[in-house]
Amino acid sequence: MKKRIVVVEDFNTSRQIIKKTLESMGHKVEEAADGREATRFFNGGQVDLVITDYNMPNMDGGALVEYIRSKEEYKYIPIFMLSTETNIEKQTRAREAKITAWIKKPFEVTEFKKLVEKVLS
Amino acid sequence: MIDEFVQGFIEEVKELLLQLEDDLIGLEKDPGNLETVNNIFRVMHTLKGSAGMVGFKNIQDLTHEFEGIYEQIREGQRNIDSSIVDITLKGKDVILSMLTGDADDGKGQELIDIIRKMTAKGARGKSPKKPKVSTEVRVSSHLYVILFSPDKGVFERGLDPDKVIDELKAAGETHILLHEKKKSWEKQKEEKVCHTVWEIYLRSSLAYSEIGDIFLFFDKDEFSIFELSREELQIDPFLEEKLGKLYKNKITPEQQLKDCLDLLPEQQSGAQLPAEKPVDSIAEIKPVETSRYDMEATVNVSSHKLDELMNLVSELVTLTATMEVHASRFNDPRLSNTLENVEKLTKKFRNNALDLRLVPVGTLLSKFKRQIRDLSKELGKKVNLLIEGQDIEIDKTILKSIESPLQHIIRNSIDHGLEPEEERLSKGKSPEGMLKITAFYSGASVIIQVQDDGRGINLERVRECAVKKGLALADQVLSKQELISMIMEPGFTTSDNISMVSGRGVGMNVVRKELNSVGGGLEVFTEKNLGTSITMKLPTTLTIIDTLMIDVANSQILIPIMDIEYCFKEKRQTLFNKDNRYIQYKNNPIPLISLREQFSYPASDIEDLMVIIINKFDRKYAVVADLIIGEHQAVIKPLGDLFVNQPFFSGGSIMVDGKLAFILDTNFLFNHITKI
Repeated sequence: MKKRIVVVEDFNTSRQIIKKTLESMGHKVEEAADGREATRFFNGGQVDLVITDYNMPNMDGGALVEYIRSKEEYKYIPIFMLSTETNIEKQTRAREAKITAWIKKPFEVTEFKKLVEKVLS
Repeated sequence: MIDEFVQGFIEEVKELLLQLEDDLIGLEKDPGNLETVNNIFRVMHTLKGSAGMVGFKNIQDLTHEFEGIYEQIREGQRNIDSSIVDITLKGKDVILSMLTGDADDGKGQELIDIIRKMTAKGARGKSPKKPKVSTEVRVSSHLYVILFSPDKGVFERGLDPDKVIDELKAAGETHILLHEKKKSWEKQKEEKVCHTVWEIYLRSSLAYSEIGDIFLFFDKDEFSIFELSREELQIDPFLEEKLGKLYKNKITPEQQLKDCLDLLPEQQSGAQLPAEKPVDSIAEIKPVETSRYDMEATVNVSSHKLDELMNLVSELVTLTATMEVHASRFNDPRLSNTLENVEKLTKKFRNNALDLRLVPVGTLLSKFKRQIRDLSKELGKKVNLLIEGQDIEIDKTILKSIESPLQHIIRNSIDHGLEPEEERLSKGKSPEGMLKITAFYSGASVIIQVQDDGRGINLERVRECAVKKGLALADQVLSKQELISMIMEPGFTTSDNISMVSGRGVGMNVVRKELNSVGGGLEVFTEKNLGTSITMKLPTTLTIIDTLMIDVANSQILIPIMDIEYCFKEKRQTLFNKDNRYIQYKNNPIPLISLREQFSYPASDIEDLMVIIINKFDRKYAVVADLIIGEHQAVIKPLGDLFVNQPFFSGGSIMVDGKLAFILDTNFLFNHITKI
């Protein structure tokens, strides 16, 4: 079934790769270059999954998640957080970050697809 | 260094071999049972591995070959047939003789050669495609126990635990328990706060890692998956019993629920599971289960050590009693209090020590399975063996002492009792003869019953032979029970031709003697063409029994409490005023025995005498004593050779004052009296 996925990533190439991958799976993708830009998708419209980078200008991934979770209708949607962070300490547990899972960049496409498929199933 | 392990090894192997024999006989009945094949394979594998370590190279070599043949069966390259069962049984015997060191290596080599021929043939005989197909068809299933305790904020991570549960349900056959805490899961879901812990029993063909993938979005401390291997299930018979049902899928959800709940360590069951601390509860599960395996394991102790322990306990029991007598003089409440506690402890200690000696009857009965199988083959009779009450526990010494009596009885049943197939069919019976061995508790004793549905004891022939032997007069009227008791006379036999199997029929006399020597008794019922039932009544334990102490002309006599039905006071006049020696008890006249008279003491001049009603095998009789002293815990000591031929006492016991009291042989006494 076609899902609406919001992809938030400041680095365009990365965003396009993610977009292509998701579209190849038959999903509708909405793009945003940073957290602040992404907030416009959370005004009552359907969002099935958010895939967001962590380090972004203006509004980073953490703040975006806070924002999403503060909205009643998006409180429980799945969120994947992309991160190149290798420092374990900096990368808080998904539980505390209120996200569904961390996805490490660079990711392997099949592995990525598997996660998306699973979370949307 | 190795030597100290050898004894333990031998004991352990002996047990393994018994189990092996059991499995083999089971396999013959149900050749398709893969589990049994696996069991046998594992026994061989274990033997191979451990025998090498303690220096039994010959066992190692032999079991290696057996391992090979059962491997082939496991892989579906070979079918079970009786030749395999036969050779494995032979192998078992050879291994046993290797253990005791009296086997010549030729025997082992002989077997190895035979098996090599068999395995080579099996390998050649297989078609190249077949095994591949069979492995594909036989999808092995795993049994998982999964604990799933998502964090309470799981919803805010965009996750829904129900999705995981759905995936698990799709992965195979599940049984799911919800520990919901205060609010129902539905309510929690509504409020988006998760306090529920799931406990999932899953039978699935998916591998461990695939199950793990289902929990992809969950942290390691939110779930735990344990795979139960078949080995583990078999190590713990308790677990096996519970989970085996899940394996076989023959069980209603309600029963499953109950069973699974039973499986849980107590603090895990019910709704009180602490959901705030799911991490801890998960961490606890595994250690609890492993420790249970350990608990189930048995420790082999040499019977010598056990005997020594029993001896010490016996001394302790006697000493405590003596101490009590002395302490009663001081009238010090602190002393008597302490002593009371010591006595309680000693009693607990005694019971515990006694328990150590108890072994399930099944350990003996499984030995007979093999014999019965061999015997029925030899005699060409089909025997359907039914065994009930294998769990009944009895003193190891007693069990050992009834081995040969029981063997005799079983042989008699198959050889003389059960008819050949044609004869059975002509009588309208099923072609298979029934042999049923039942063990059960009856009061303080254990009853072992051997029943067959054969032709029964031919009482007319018994009578003829009895007359011939001079045991009865030609025109004497003999009751059925009297005739039956004839077969227990020394040298009595009705069989004209001596059969290889059951010998000359000296059996029943020997059987009775042996049973009497351990304080047991024998009872025979027979009905023509319907069968014979032989009942052995045995004390559960030998060394310490509860007795009633009575006084007869100032000698102290002990009567086992288990044989006493009732005691009452009676005037001497009423008891001995008539010629006949009977007394009315519950409206039946029962024989009355004056112990003074039996022991050749002068008749008593006491007015009030004590009558003790003894009930041995539902045969009641009364003995008359001067007075009853009280209960006494008797540590039985055997009487010396000098006293072997007296009919009254089965043993002695040291009293608190150091004197000896005799224990009345209630069984012998009755036989002795009725004979006169």
